[in-house]
Amino acid sequence: MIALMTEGLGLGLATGGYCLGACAPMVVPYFLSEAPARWKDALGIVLKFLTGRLAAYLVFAAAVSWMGHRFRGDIPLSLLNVASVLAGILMVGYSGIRTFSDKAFCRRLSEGKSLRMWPWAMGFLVGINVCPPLIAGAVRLLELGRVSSGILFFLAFFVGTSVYLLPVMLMKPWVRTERMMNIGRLAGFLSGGWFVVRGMSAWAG
Amino acid sequence: MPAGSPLLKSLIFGALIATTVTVLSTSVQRGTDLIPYQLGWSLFVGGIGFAILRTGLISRWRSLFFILMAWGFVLNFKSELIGIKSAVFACSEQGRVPFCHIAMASSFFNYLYQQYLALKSGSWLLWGPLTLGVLWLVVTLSLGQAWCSWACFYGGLDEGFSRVLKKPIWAWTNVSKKLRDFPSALLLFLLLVSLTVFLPVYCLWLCPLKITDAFLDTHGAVRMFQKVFFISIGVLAIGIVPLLTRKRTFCAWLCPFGAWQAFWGRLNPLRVTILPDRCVQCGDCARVCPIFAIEVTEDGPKVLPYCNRCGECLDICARGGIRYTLLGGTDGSGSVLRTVFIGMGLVVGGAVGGLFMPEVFRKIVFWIGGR
Repeated sequence: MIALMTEGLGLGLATGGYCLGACAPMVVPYFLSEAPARWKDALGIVLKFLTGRLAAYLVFAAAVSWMGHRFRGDIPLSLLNVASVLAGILMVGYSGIRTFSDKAFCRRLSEGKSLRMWPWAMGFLVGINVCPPLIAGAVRLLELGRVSSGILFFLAFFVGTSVYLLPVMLMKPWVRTERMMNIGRLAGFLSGGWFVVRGMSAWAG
Repeated sequence: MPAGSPLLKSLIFGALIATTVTVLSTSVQRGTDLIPYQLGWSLFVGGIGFAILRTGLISRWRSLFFILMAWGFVLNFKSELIGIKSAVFACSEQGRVPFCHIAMASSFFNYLYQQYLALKSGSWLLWGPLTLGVLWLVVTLSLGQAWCSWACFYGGLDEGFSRVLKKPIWAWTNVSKKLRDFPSALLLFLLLVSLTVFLPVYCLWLCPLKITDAFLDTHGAVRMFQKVFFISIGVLAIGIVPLLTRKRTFCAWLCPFGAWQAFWGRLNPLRVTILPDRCVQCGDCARVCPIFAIEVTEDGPKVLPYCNRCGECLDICARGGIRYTLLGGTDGSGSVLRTVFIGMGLVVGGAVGGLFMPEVFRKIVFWIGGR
């Protein structure tokens, strides 16, 4: 078990730079838009995102291990591209709500509790996306072919990759201005659109 | 609008600029056959300096120099690329990545990563972009954001179209505060996604300045989309919209390097400052600003970090209420600073143009005279 977890951690640490690359287009604009006032809030945003990502990894690990156990077959990557499209739609929606929060409909959504769920949802959808580290992990899962081992492996893998996302918090001292919030929202629109296009084009082959 | 300087002072200023540009130009590109054309270019730049000082009008003369340089660049560099077509822009060491200052800004993290790989490989041939980085630092320290109106060899393209009509057909003056930072958002987005896919996304998908298809995608459908993007962005943002609005649409909204310089350009202490005691809040400066860098607020007009120091607002202000200052201070001698800045702008711009404008002159002479 220790060997398996060390292997997962090592793979996560080795490939985690890619995770930052894959997740940053979502996390950074969101972080700027929310403009956390305290370090606690900044940590909260990153932790929510990471928790969503953890859930995604565990679901992914369980599913792929089960598939590896049952079928020894290919991973249905096209389904994962749907997650990319959904993450993009979510980001565009979020940016829209924040940008037009002076309009009644957006204000209601902006003030409601549902928007606080956004980082979890985005973390989950981005976490389940096809990215090189996830594929590398998935290949190992297919070999393992056991759900419990797969979950343990991916738990350690998650810890390894998450190390690279924590520095996002360090932007906190520079974000609390109206300009930075606007930049975050506008970048969120662009990133969301890019995730949608990327997911759809990958889906279409 | 400031008055012009005396004839002698203007002549000395022009001669100093011409001499400096000649020295820089001839030391970078050696060859006796180029010397007459290098001198021609230096004299032209010096003449612009003379005209600015003599008439007191900055932007009118600057734009002439700036537009000529941009179209000269297209004529010399891009026309050759179109002719050669395959494998152009590509440097065997850097693979397929095109490198210009805009590419450097929009894929800076990739650039850093490449430098890391170059460092690890120990091959000094891979360090070309680092040289570009040093040049950028020199330019940023000497000109700051003013690069975009004094030395960028692309900027004169949309400025050229924006100057065709005397009055705008579409008076586009107001921009929502929420949208004004779009260039910074675009830069942030490009930095992140370029890192994600390890490709210069801006160059591959958005840059209308790449008027060759040398390194487009090999997949037919993707290639078609890329061409559609390039052509539509180019026609709209460089041609039609600047023509209708007299605004530099591409530079103001779509150039990641402009946003990059808006941030790093603060390293240079020169600012455009509106003097509150002279401002009558007529709004002329905001109206003529070609890149929407003056925001009209209840407290009067405010210069945004996107200001290119082009001098358009200084030329239009009837009460002389806008000046070049050091870090926004309103005291001290504006005219000395103004002269020093104009000199810097023309020398740096002249040196950049000196890399290709003599060759352009030579080609023109060849085409006309056949030798």
